[in-house]
Amino acid sequence: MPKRKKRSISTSTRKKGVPTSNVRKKGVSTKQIDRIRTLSREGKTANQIQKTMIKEGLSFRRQTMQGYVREFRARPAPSYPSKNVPTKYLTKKEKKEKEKAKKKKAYAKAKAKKAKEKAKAKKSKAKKKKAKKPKRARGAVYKGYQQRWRQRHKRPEGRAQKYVAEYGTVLGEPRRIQVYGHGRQLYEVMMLIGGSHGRPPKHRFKFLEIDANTLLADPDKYLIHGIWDYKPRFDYGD
Amino acid sequence: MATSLSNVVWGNFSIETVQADLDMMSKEKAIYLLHRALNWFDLGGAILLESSKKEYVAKKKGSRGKVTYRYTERNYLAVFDRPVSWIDNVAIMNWIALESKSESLKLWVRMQCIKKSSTVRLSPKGSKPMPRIVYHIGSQNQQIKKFLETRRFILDSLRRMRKKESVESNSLKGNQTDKIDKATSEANKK
Repeated sequence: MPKRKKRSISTSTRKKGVPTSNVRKKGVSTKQIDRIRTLSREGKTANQIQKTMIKEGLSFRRQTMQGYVREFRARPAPSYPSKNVPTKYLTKKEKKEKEKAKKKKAYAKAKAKKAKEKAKAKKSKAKKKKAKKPKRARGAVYKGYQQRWRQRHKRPEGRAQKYVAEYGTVLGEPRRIQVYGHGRQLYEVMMLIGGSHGRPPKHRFKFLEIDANTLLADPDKYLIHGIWDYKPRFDYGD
Repeated sequence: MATSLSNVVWGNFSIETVQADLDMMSKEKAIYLLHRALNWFDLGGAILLESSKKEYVAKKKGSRGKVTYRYTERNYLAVFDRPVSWIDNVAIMNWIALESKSESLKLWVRMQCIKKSSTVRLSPKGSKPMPRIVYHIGSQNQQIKKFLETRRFILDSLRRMRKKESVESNSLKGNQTDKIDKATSEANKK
């Protein structure tokens, strides 16, 4: 088996300020560099690498080692804060640049403040809008014939009417009463028809169909003398 | 007075709801008819109520009362959800009656046509109990809702009426016993 060639370190990942391994520094052997490469590929940190290197007797200066580690892991060097130099020691150009940078910073700050204030105002506006009650939409106003027609055809209540039929025999003859209406009135009518007499009242004719309200207004008129029929009627309330 | 109530039958009558009296039928056949009508006329939903059942027993002579054949006859009521006009209602009721091939249903439909409104029993009738819901399918928001409301109303009001009548009868009985006690005490004094 032919020996495998040592791979040269790629330059594509090289960045500014990062020392290259092509330039071998003084006091650093290729063996040491290879060892660092393998360890860093395993995902070990600089501290761990240094410890292993010390154990193996391959250690060298930490700062130079870190440069190699950064290169293999393709990480840039940390940016240290620049020293503040008083303006009186600066040249004219540097002074102008410094002023410009200051102005830029101030402008950016002011812009950010304005944007924040705008966002706040928007939020508060939205809250106010939510808190405000929506204006009640005015319904269409009808006049004349339309108004009269609507009043005539308006339902007395929103609830649906109940349709109750009571049928049975009175002394061997069939009788049938059909009543429609709402809860309480219907119950009173039921008491009139079924509760007190126990059966539909005796009448010459067979059928009676009536609204609960009209029957309650004058029960004797409708139950005894009333508008009974010998055949079913077809007049419904709804 | 409580017996007097049993002579009378209370029911729900309407022209908009499709109702059918499925007498003398098995439950399977009733449900089958219900589904067929639902799909054929797009009626939305339906409920099935068991109105009453009757048990027939056949015994052989000289078998010392041993039952040879037992048969239960069940009656059902069907109510559909979609509101329809009276003309459509008549058409649907007649279609169901023809499909069921039962003479009693045909007769019931003819009676409803004469009355010009279909009626379904809700209260107990003699020894028969009140109809109970056995099966439901589809939407129940329109006519079925109304039907169940009237059912609840009728049953509640009947219960209230019975309570009232029982209270009245008890008070009458109490008055009579008081009178008897007074009479006996007077007699004893004498």
